[in-house]
Amino acid sequence: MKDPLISDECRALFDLLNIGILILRKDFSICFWNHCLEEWTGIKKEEIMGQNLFVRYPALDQPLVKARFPQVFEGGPAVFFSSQFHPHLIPSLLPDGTNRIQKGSVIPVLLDTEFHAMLIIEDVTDLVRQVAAFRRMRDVAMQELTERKNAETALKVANAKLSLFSDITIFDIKNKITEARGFLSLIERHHTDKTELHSVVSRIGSKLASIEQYIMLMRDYSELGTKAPQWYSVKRVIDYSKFQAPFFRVEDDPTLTGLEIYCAPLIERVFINFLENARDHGTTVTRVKISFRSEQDIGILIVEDDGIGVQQDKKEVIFSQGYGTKTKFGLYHSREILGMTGITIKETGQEGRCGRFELKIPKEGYRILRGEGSGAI
Amino acid sequence: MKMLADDDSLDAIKEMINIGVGKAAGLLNEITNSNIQLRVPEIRLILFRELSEVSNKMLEDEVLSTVMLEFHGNFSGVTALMFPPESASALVKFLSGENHPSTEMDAVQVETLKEVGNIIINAVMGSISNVLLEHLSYSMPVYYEGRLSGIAATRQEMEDDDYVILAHTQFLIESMNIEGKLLLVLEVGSLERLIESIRRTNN
Repeated sequence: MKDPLISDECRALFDLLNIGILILRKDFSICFWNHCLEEWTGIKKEEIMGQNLFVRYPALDQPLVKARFPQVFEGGPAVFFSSQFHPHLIPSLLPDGTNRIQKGSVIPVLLDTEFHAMLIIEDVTDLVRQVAAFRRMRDVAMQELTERKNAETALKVANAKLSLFSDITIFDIKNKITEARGFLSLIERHHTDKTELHSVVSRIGSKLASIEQYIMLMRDYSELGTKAPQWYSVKRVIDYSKFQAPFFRVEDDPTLTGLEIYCAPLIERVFINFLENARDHGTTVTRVKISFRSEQDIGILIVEDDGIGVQQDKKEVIFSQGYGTKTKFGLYHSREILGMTGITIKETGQEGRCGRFELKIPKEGYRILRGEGSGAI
Repeated sequence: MKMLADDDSLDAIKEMINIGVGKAAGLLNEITNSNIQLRVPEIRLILFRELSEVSNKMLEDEVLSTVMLEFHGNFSGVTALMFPPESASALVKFLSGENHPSTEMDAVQVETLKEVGNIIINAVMGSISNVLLEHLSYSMPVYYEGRLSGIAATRQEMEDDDYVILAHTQFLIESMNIEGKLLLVLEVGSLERLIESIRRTNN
């Protein structure tokens, strides 16, 4: 069945093209169906000519498609159907069994005295798939770039802090050496007084022990400047800390399952410090509970013990440099290490009832993975 | 000396554009299954050469995402719907449900914006030709990304003395406020014929 209004030359030309072409009369009956559409759908011209497009393809019979045709039948502007909103205008399968993705244009065609609508359909499957692949690559690249930038920033901060720590520690070591030299001159003067000699040697030993501790602390700090922050499984960090500091029962709450935090190296030293702190200052501590909750995108990690807590006027001073033993890893160092990736720490316990550290983690600094997660330690 | 449109004619143009934009909003709501409101709070008639002076900074400096449609008939010109990059990207992301920070438009997003522009421009031009009973012929819609001056360069006939109907278009989508500009650039002599046609229809 041929529509006499369409010339044989046009038919031959449209059949050569590798795009789907169909022509509709004003009543939406199909008066041309090209070879490409036959190939795509397996429907022959003879079978579909004269049929109503919207009866044959009921999925198209919706206002957002149908309502745009009348303007074309009046010779109005062309209509454009994007692959985003109309991916399968004339559904057809590709050899791999997936649906061909299409985009279409409808243009008015004057045949004799009446406008017809010519629907031109292009196969954009490859393009859409390439764009989808590009978007996936871009997302991965952007995520990696963000993590790299964060790591670079944290390393810069770490190096600045490391330099500060080193200067302070070198200053302290020099002091200890000066003191030890002073004691050596005392030995020269009192080498015949055995009692005095014993006391001076003992004090030199103490200064040397301090120097050794400073050097150990510097070795730990050096890790900060060479290793970038990474994701740590909180459960694994706690397990490691419990093993290193087995002072009392440590309960890890179910809220920690799958929890990972983005943190600078030495995070395990921070948790060991919490346990040592509970042992040294909590007096009545029998257990430590660690749990997690989120509030308005901020993650809050809570380390709570049942000890005597911290006096109200000491809650901030315990984080200051030099508070407690100078030669050991303390809360000052913990706060500095956590701060490298934007984690803040506060003591929020109740004096006489409990000690509690609250670690506030920015939203990009924590994640909850299914299962045990993949974080370090 | 060119004839300037009187207030009644400008009101008629504003009403025709609003009818078209209202119809387009209905179609967009159906496609996206959401509540999109389209508003045209302001329409101005200016010379093309004055466009960058009287308009805001958006038309002066920015690379714009533009869907254009040429029309010919009793009055001829080009209708262009233009978005600044952030608005174009936010609109397409909303319509496609995507969520990524980049404002660069890929090929699929360009097609999506082209369909949105096609719906709005067709509705506006359909409204004008229906109300004025004028038959116009049209080219295929095209997408262009560049500065305002580049849009002029795409059409050889466009001159500084062409009149431009500048309609500020607001898309109110949920909590987002996406802004665009609808330009009707009329070739020399076309404004007079458009206004004649409006007066004839009013009479």
